[in-house]
Amino acid sequence: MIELSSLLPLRKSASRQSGFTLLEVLVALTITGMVLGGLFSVAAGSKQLAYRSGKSLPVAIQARATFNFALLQNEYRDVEEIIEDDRFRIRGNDPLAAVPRKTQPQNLRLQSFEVIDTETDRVIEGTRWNLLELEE
Amino acid sequence: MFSQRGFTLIEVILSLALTALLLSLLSTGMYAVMNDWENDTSSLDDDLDQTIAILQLERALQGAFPHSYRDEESLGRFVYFKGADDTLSWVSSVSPQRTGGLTAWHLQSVDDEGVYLRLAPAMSDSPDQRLETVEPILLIPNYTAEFAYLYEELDFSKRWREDWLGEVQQSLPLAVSVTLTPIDEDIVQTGPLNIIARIRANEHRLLRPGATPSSGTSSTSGSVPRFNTIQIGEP
Repeated sequence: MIELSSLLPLRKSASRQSGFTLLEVLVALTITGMVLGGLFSVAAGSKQLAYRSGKSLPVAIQARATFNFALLQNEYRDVEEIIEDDRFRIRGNDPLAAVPRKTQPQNLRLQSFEVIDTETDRVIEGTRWNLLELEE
Repeated sequence: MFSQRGFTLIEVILSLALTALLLSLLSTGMYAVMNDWENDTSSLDDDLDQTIAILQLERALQGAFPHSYRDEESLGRFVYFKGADDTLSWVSSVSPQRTGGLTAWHLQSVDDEGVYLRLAPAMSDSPDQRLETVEPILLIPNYTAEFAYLYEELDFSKRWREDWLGEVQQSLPLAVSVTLTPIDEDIVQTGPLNIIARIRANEHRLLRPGATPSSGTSSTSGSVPRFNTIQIGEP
């Protein structure tokens, strides 16, 4: 017992004992909080990004299908509608001006069209061929 | 002997309890966050996979080829394209493994599971038997597929029909539409998805089966004229 107690460094008086001051503790806590907060905000940001991009993928697929349908619709006239989702609308504009010097009559005419996203009002533009009844 | 003063039992217990409480709070918080994180990234991964699968399907449908084979019994030549409203087999010039040559694709929509895909190389015979032996892959889970085929009505209007048999029609449809409907709205929080694929090769009129009876192979693509040179403008 005597050997053991002699190994331990012992204080002479308990009153000298000093811990952290309140200021030190507060500073340490603030720094920890800021670091943790930064970490979590980064995590939350990329989580949100993942969620948003996951949500936008099906929309992109629908936009693509609508665009393909718009191209189909004009290569052939009178194509029966098949896309039930009405988020994207197809609007055909006026046909483009004819080429000034045409070497031969043809039954195709260029037309610009728009695929409109009705939720965000964004527009995808494209050109397609119109099949005419008669060559001109 | 010494006036050393340690912690009292109550202090120790209290500090331990506080530490344990803090730790458990922190770990449950972390667990919840990690779990959520895991869920999100895996669902994003799934969504990306599914999008790539859908784009790949669209490409394969666009590249459909009027592959013809000789029927063993009737000795007639038939275009291989078997479309129903929930299954579709066709031969495409697009192969996902970047292997050369034609590939036979088979899609099957199974209720409550998803859309299964089988792939087999297309030789000169009907690829049906080879497709049967292939292990199907669950390509698009949690969706059922409904196929429709575009054809020309007598009044030149274009209508969609639910089936298309290459044996009977001896040609490919003008376009194929695939409507993917979510099986369970709780798992997949999107509306139906569409694929519209124009099949350009349907205008290969010169590739009518029987027109070239001497050629026993399907590799007649060299003699097939490009049907037109119209470029569809894309933005």
